[in-house]
Amino acid sequence: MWTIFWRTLKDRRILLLIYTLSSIALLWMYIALFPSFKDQSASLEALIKNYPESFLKAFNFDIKSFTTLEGYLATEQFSFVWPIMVIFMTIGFSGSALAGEIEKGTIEILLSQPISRAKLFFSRYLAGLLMLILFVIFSVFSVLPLSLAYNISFSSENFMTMAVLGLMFSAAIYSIGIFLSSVFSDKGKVFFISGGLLVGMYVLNILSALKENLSDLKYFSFFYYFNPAKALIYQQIDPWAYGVFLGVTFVLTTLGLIIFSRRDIAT
Amino acid sequence: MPIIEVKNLKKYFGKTRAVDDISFAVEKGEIFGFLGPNGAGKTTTIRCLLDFLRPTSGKINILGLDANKNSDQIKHKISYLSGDVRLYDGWTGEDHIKFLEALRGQKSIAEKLISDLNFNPRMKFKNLSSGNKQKLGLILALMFEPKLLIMDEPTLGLDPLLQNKIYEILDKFQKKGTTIFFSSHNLAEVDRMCDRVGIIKDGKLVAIERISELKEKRMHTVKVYFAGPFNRDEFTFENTKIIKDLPEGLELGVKGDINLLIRKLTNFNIRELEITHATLEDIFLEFYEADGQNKNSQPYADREQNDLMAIPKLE
Repeated sequence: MWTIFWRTLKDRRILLLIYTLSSIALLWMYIALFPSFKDQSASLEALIKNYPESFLKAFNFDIKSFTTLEGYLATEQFSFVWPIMVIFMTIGFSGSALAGEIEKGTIEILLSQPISRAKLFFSRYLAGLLMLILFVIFSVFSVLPLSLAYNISFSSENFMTMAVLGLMFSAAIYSIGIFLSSVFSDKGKVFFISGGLLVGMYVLNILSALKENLSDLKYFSFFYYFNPAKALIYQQIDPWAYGVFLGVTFVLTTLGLIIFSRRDIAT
Repeated sequence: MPIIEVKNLKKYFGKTRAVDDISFAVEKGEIFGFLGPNGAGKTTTIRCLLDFLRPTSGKINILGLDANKNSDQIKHKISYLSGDVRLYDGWTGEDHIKFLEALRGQKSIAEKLISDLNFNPRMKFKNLSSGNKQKLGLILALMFEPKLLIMDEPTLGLDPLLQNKIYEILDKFQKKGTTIFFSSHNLAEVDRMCDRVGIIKDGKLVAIERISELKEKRMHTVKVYFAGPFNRDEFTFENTKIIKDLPEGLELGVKGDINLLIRKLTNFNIRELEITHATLEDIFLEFYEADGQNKNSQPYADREQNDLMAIPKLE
């Protein structure tokens, strides 16, 4: 099992490096620009106050979005660019992990070895999960040395909260991808369905903030529970986020394992 | 104890009966050919043996163990080679070999096979020719000296030189006790390699025969040239049919006892007589036309000999 695990990590290391370095480069840029934003925080605050409340809610803007490093990064990096990177990375990896192998026919060499399907599933699953953990750690905690380099004060506890929230959010998306990858024999379907599902969730969250009568729709969206502004500015995670993200991760991973172990695999 | 024992295996995909109630056994040290055209159910059967597909019903035992419940235990002792080897594009042959050695925690005879097959293990899989890809597949299948080797059309698209090299290596492994089960639609290959053959048609096993017994089915082609007048209608009876008219003669197909025809011929003045055994291809095609379902085929005795000889693959 660990042979496949390590080999998977080895094969994906360049991809992980590209995602992580891109994320760090973006962070570096935002942190380098932060002092000039802070200088104009009074006018930005006034500007934000003029926006409709529902708009601010929909896009996770907070009054402290430009006055503190945490708020600024929550808005600029962790509410938009970072989730997109996580989604691309997790769906890309999960689609290739099982469905991609079936599509290319390389699964045959693995299935003809003395390893159970459950071990094969977990070796791929855990390799992807470790990649996610590494990405979250580097892409969140690299803020600390970068902030020190630019003499910007920060609260490391808040970034720890952000890392926990980010990890749960990533794991839930990853479990959707792995589940679909266990069901289908074509990674294109995994990308299409999981991408569609996440876009749908994003739209639901925006709609729920814009219209009062649609507000309950937010509960069906990961993007309601994934609130970087709350995590970074107030060091808070919605209590329901634990249940939703961890529940989805557990249920879909278990279902994926059961389906992959029982299904016919024909390349 | 048979190495492979298949009992009443059925595999349906919805309403499609890919494999329909087949039973057979393969004994230790045997080379068993699984013969049939594309879509007959060969690959589905192999995938059930390897537990890639789960049977709709029926039982498969390999090395005395249940092929589904004990799949990973069985796979310590068996190997698989597909005719269309698909491996990791970015890995070299060496990467694949080391990966499998680490996965199994076993030493292998890969180096010897590399030298026997004159294979370069340092090239990436994506840069290998189809022949070299197949060589790598064969090395990976044989490097742990399996007790049972399962192959799905292993020489598909390979040049005759490489085919022969593969046959030589497989012969050596059989002599060392490896049981070989392989599917093919190449009759020459089956003739060259197998002890026994199972013939599958539309998901059903229509015959299991020793190659030697198949050849003894006494199908003959008779070319007769007459020195005097003859009535061609007299040569269509019981087991004899006219294949074609020859100048002052006939080409006849005979199934079974040839003495009936010989006795008939004694009534005529013969100038020249040529009797040849039917090939394995002729015999194989007999199974495929038995119930007349194969619309593209004609009964043996109605087919021209040239056509029979020109069917290396039944696609």
